[in-house]
Amino acid sequence: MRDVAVVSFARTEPGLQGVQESDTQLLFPIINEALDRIGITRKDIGFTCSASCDYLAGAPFAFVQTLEATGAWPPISESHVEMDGAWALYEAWVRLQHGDIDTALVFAAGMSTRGDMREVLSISYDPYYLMPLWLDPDSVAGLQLQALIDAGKANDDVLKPPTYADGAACVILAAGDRAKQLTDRPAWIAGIDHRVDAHYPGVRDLSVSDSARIAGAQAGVDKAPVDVAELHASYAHEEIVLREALGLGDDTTINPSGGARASNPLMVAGLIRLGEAANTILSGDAKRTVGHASSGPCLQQNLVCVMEA
Amino acid sequence: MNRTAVIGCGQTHHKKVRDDLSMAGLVREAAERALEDAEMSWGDIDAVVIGKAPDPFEGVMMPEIYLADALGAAGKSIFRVHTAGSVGGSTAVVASHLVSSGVKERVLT
Repeated sequence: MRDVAVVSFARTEPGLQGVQESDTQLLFPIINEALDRIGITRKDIGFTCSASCDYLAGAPFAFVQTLEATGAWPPISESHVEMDGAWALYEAWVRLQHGDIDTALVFAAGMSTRGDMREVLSISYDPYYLMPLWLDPDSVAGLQLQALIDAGKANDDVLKPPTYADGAACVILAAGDRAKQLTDRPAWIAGIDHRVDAHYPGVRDLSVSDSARIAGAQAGVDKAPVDVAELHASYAHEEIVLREALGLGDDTTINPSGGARASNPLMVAGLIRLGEAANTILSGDAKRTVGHASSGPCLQQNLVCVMEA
Repeated sequence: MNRTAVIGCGQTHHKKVRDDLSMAGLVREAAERALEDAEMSWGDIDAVVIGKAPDPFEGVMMPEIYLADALGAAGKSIFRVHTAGSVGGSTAVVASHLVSSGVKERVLT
């Protein structure tokens, strides 16, 4: 595998509410910031991958407009996932393994405060068996909290849901020597993996996350001590599940950025976790960090990225 | 880069209306036919890449979450590509990258 590192990261401030600009307007300065930090331009990027959700923008294919922020002329090589930006980062990491290009631009944007995210997320479940129940994300998360209480892993039965926010984030990846040219302390991706569990909350033990555990093991979390872990725990109790799945002890600082509960811009929050975890290495504050992203009910799908100085 | 080959394909029976199965049934029919064509079983697959655009067509957000079971993805990775109208092609491209980069060996897409 080719060595790939995060060399730059930029994000909007946490907790943005009621943003009036478009996704593109929010992204443009963020992409500028990420590029400026390492002194390159859009022309220097070999591959672009972005993430968003049509339902947040309220229009199909809405992400196409955000490409305006990448200066896509002459035409660029780009791709898109309708998942959290963390998975766009994964696609860019895979692409960089080929060896023909050395830099990739990853970004995500979404306005979660324009609509009711509980309604939007309630249509992400099985349309035949779960949607007719009007299962909403808070209720589904409540099932997991109850499972944790029943398993003796949690005491507090008050569900603490996230504060949805508007946001955008941008990460620049670079490979090999190019990464060393661009920054003094690249956050090298030592391992990255993502897994998914079965969809229906009733068929698995909600007090654990097999997919997070497998992804963490494949990414090599336990190979050395972890200084900082940015966990995409939208609900407070999800942190309990993730710490256990990833084997994180008390010597790891969890979510110094404030985490996804304090500010949860859907489709961006996971990429922000990866970016923040990388940032602590870029700034010289940490040597080994974990960035995590999740999707689906009760941590159904998990991505784990281990980064080292 | 590793050489990458398509070793099996399957499609659903094309008809104006398929009211005999669900969304999950639809993808599973195509996937099972592809596995049969490749003379493989679900256990041989490392990762699943699904392309779907746009979400509002069926009113299911992030359908890969729901379809993971039908595509035998539990315990594996599932990835959802959405590049608007080009998604049919770009999904195959992304899936091929997973193999050509050496990250995965056998991908169902």
